[in-house]
Amino acid sequence: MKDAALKKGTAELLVLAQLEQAPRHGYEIARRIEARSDGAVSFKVASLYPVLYRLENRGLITGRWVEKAGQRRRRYYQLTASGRKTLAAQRMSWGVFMAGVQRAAGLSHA
Amino acid sequence: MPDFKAYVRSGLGPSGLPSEQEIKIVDELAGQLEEHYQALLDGGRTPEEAWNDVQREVPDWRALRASILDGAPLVQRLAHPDRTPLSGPRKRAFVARLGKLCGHGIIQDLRLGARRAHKERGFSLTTLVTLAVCLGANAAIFTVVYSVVLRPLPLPDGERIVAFADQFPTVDPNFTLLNNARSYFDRPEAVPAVEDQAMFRPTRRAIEVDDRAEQTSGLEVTASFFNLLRIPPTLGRAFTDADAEIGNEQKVILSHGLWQQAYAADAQAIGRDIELDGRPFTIVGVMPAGFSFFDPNVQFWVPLAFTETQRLVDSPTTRLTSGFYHMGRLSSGADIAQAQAQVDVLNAANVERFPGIRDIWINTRFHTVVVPLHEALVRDVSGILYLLWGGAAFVLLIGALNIVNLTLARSSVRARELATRLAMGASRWRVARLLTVESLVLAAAAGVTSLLIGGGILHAIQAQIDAMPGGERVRMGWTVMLFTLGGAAVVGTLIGLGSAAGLRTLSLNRAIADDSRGGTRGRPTRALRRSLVVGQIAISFVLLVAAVLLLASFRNLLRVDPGFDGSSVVTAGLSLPAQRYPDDMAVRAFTERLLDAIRAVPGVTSVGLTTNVPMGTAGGWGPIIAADYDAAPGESVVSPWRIFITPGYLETMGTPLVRGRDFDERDRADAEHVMMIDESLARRFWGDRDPIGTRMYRPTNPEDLNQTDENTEFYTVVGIVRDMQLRDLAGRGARAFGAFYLPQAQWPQRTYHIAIKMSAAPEAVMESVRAELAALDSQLPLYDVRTMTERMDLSLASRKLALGLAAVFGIVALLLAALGIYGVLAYLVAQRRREIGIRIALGSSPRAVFQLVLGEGLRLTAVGLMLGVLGALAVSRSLRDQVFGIAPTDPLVLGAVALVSGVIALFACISPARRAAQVAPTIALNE
Repeated sequence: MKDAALKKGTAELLVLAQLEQAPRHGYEIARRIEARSDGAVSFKVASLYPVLYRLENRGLITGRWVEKAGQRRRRYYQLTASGRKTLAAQRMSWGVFMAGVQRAAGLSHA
Repeated sequence: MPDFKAYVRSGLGPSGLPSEQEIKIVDELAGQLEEHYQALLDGGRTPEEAWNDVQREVPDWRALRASILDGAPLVQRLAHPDRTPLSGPRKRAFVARLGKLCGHGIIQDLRLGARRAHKERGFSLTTLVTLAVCLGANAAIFTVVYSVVLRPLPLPDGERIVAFADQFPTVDPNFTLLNNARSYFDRPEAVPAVEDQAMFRPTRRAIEVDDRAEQTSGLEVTASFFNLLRIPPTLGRAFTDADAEIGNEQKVILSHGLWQQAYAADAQAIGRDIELDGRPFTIVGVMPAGFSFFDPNVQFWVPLAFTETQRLVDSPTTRLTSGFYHMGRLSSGADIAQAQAQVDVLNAANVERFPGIRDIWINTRFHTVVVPLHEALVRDVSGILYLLWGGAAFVLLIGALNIVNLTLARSSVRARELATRLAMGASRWRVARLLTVESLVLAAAAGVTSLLIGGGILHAIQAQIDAMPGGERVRMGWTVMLFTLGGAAVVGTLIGLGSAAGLRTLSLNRAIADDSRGGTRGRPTRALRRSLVVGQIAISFVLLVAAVLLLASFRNLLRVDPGFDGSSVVTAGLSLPAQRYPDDMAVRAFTERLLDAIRAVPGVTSVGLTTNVPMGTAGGWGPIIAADYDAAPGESVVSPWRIFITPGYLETMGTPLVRGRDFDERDRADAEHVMMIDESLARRFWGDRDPIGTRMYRPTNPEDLNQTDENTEFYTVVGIVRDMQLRDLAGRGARAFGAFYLPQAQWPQRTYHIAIKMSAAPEAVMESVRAELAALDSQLPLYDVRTMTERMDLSLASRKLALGLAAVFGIVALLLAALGIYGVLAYLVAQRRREIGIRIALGSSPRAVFQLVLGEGLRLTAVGLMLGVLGALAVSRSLRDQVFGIAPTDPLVLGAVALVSGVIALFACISPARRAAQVAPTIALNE
């Protein structure tokens, strides 16, 4: 996905969604988004990290350093309660919005 | 393996964030890059290939740093908690960040704001007009307040000039600025806190310019005067001490205007003579253009030459005769309290020094006040001006509240747009800024418009301003413009922030859910809007009460019996120079011929002379006591107005004679001295008894008022006249115990006003009168020619101004408040359509719904009015000086205003309530 504005708007939703089931570390989040979107959406470190940083500062996710035997130290992020609510809200509004866009742009015949 | 941390640190550079934040960021970024690198190696890439790939992960370090900073908490972005001083690259980064925070996208916001203003023309226009009118009113009032009261006198360090003012409260309850001549000789030494002391008094002289003599205003000033003002003549010199000696005093300094008019701005005028009242005065100087002090009409300055007696003799006469303005400059380091203390010490010492005057000083509660000169000069108007300013500020407040209310209502409409912006990644700060920029765009337009409106208001009230002391200085200058535009900016920002406060509760799903289901969103917002309306009603109530009180006062004033009937009466001043009218004979002869000539003019019904024209400024007073009155030892002297009139004056003015007779041809110079007194003075000495035929005299020994001798002037009381309001219909400026009248035939006067009652057009009659006067003496100008109606209007001018403005403010405030109630209710009904639909579907009658909504509106009104009553009681103190014949807390006024406000509010509620009652029950299903 090349359009920067579009990606900026969706990035929060995408990151929050990856953390819904389990805490994950930054590199893993990037890989998951790429894999689950069949490569349509990929984040470089430079675009992903600011999102994580912002979400953490807004209290939607929390991060903590975890050091497992034989692995390097990694920062794992997990959703907070308010992050979970925001995820639900954003899913809904994006749903409405995307459905609207699809109808308006003739992307599908919903 | 590359050193990722070092790589990240060098790429990112100093962020300006707290160091533990920075460490965390670097660690995490380095970790992710290393992970990526490892994955690439694991996938079979060579280290070089992998390293190249990793470097592509961060194509632009500056952009990365910027977007990280965007996500940092606001406090850290604005001021990080590190103790290390902000300097070097950190400071640069911080400043750049701050600039970006405020400036980034501002052009875009401005464009958006302008576009939105254009798109929502109805909203924009309402906001613009409301703000422009409210700011315009403030600009106009502030122009007057600033020019008259706040701006220092146009003199170097003018705020350090102070005036002395002797007060004799039991003789004259009004604040007076006058002093006696002796003070000029003992205060400079005794009051070192005030330096460059000078005295002056107003004077009028006939000056012939272009072959036409005109009575011209001037000042007699001591030699120190120009030194005190720190403004020397632009041409020639100021006065010297030698000029102020009797015999040397025929020197004059001209105003720039008079110099231009009489000498065509010729520098050779210095040293030439100019005739004042027919006596030659040598021109020694010319003041700079634009110089104005005390009275803008002053055209010349002559030396104030004290007599030998005034210089040297301490007697009750010299010590008690007030007639001079005395002022000086606070010495460096001294303040007014010190000056006051020093004057008090001097006065106390004088009381001991002069036992002959001691009792009078004590009985009259004599004291001297030191006041800033500027404050003393604008004393009469500053109170009402501040009140009006407060009123205008209230109107602005109501207007701003209305706009916040309107914006809040609109923000619910905009909730979807704003929520989408938020969801699309715009920060709340950005959205708040957008809202602020939007309201600032409108406020800026309103600010500019308001200057035009303010100018219009000033133009409309120009006549009243001119009649006000200091009114000539009223100009809308840069200060006013900056103040108004600054006010617009503040109001605009507050409105923007006020509506941004609504964002706190805003989220997209709520906004969207609300929109589709008409739920119960925005309880806090609704409560906020309700309290705004309550506040508006309360404030407009206070304003209206003030306006109605002023109106009632004005009506009461018009009902006051002034003691005369000024209709069809023209008055004009005349002053006979001592050179050509050297003695009583000459004055008497001229006066008789003048009166005969005027009486013969067609259209003249009657004519008379007076030394004290009502609602004018001139007038003298003097001590008087009844011959059969037994004054207690040390009793203070009664000093009413002393008015010299001719037969025919009272008839001309329509002042009724209560008892006895008017002056007539019997009262000649060689006949028994007679007097008339007014009802107040009669009551003071005789109560219910009849004073006609008894005598009064002028007490000469202040220590024993009852003492008379062969020099005592006795007057027989021949008539009692109705009290006249001589200065102000409200009785301000009146002297205690009224006035007494003496016939000019027995006491010839050189300066008086002619009063003419006429049955023809004043212009034509006055033309003939001037011609008759010129035939008697071609060098005698009439001055201060006004109809009595004009004088009455002038005396009411500042009240009219106050009343007019207060009324406009009150009405605008009430309309704005009504608009506020209407807006809130209409919004409420729109919000609760579904609920109302359900109620109706469940069997509620439209009537009940109507009552429900109306009840809501009336509840808000009632609470607002109750607060308003409290507010009106709170401000009643400051209104006390402005109202006349009515208590500032008059229950009838409060009740009537509450009723009117309530009715207007009721009307504002009816339309939304009707709309609610018409909601179809199916709406509950459809929406």
